[in-house]
Amino acid sequence: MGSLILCHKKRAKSPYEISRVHVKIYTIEELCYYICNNLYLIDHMIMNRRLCDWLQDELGLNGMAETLRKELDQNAPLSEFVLTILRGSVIYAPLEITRIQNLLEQLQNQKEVEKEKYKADTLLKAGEYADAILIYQSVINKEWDESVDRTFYGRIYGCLGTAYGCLFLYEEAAAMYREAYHICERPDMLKAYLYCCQRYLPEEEYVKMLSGNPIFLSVSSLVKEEIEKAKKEVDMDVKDSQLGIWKKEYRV
Amino acid sequence: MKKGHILGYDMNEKNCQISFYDETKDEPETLEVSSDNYQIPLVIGYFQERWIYGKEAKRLATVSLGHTVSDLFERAIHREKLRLGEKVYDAVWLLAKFVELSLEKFEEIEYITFTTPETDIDMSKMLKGVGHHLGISKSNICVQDYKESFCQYMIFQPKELWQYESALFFCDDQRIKAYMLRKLNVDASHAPGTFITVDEVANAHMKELEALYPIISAERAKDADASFKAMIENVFEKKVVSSVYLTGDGFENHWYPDSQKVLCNGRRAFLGNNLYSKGACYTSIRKTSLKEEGPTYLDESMLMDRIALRMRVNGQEGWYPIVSWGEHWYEADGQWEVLLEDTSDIEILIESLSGEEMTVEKISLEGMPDRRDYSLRLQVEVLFLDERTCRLTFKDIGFGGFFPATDFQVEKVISLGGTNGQFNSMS
Repeated sequence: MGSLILCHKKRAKSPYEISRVHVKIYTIEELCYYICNNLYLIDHMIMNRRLCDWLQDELGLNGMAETLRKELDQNAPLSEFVLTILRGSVIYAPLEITRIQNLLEQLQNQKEVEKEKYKADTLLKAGEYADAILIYQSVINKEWDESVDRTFYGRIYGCLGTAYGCLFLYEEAAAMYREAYHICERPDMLKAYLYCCQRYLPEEEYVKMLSGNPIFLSVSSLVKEEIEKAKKEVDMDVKDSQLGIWKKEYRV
Repeated sequence: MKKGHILGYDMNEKNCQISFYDETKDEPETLEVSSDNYQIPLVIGYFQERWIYGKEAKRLATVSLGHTVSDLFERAIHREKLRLGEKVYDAVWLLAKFVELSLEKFEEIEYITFTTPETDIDMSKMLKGVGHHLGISKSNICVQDYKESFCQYMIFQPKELWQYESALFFCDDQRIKAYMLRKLNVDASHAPGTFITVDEVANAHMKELEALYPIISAERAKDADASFKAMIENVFEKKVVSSVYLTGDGFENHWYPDSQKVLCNGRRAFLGNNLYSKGACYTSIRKTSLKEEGPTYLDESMLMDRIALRMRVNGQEGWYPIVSWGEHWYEADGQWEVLLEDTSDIEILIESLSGEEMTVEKISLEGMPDRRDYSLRLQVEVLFLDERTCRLTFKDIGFGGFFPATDFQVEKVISLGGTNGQFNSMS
């Protein structure tokens, strides 16, 4: 039998807004949920005095707000700040707190570029593609960290491809996947690259690009098969013109 | 005055009285209307385009100036309409106006407990409505009778004063009533002294008392003293009484020297006129301190059952009561929000004080969205349909901006033992 956890009675009249992910938070439970599911995104948007004031004024959590202010004054690490909130919320069982603590420690031991990547990954998962692209780009445009394997940067290109792809910007996505494949030589990256090329290139040019490359040819036929299969599963009955309108709306 | 006052408000046919929690003393204090006088006459009036109340209104009524209303409490209970000058008012509205005027000194009220000679569902609804009219949330208003106020008062006194039984005598110009506070014997699963009650053990109309006002007739006073003494001896027979309290206007003239000797024999006795409002204030203190420590008061009108859910509260796992024994069924409705760790069944534990049986009911959460990351939020609602039937509702209310609510809702109707006769089965 699962246990119930009694929620705090107070609900904020004015929410705490995390503009980056367009999230409005009304309760301490929601704040904890956001933190636990976005550990890589936690930065000055959470660790600030505005949050302390909000916890005090809107949720009446005076003790927690006071402790957090002290931690800010003492430049305490982010993990301490986060754990004060999670422990003070009394939602989580000790085992869950330990798990989050371990995750935070892992995060602290990560290299700066890795932290940046995970932050962008979280944004990508949350559908904040433009913000994710900006962070990925900042990582690859900086001087590359030689202590990190080159395939790490290859994966970032792959993620950039995904982010552009989600925005239906196939030409940009293809360019990123090409770089990713170039570095990592992973078949899934090649598949994604060819799919994007097929989407943005005129058919003639696409065929020309494939000709003479047996690997491209075999992967391309695989991609085609998968597209056909997917189309059958989805069973879309939408006109191309309507699809075009939707794409435009989605990008806006 | 500071903000967020914690109050006890005694109200009866004639007067009202206000006790407030004094932070500096960590004790309730009673508002003095004049030196050593706590009683505010329950009279309201309208004179020269302003509302007046209490002593001022009573004085006005005596000289027949302006428009005044007395017997407000009784008239409000009967939901009368009253003419005051040109206008007709609801007596309940006038009572609310009176309470508002009497509480003007207390800018913001955190919790108020009204205490009246007797209470029932209508009284509770009326006084909660009056409190709500003042801007106090209904969940921060309590209504209790004088017996419970006496009990709450005693719980906050040194333990030796109620180690055994404790007696309260109330006297006005017509009658003397005796009450006895005692511990209840419930089954062995509960610690002794967990439940206490107050019984009315004697109620005597004494003709002799009429002769004590306004001037004491020495001869009749002697008779009254003898009658009272006999009453005390009768009440105390075969009982170990730790302390005695005397309250009511009737004890003001010192007409009972012989009775006093019996009262004070081997125990401490106290005379005062603010026990009920202080008792009510102690209830408010108890409710706001979030610590329901100390014994539970029970009487025949209260619930003998408890409904609990397995819940983590402030990090502590346990059975959390959503309906508690010692509550009136008409005040036991409630609403909570809970997070689910997973979507397995919810267990409900139902216990009764009148028997040792314990029932466990299950609620299936089939159809709930399956999330295991502390983002499933349910609203739990308790609604009493009558004194024996309680409906529990579990409803998915979503999780803020992260997950919208679904139409998942499940109900469970629970039949309880009610209040009839069960209380009497406990000695």
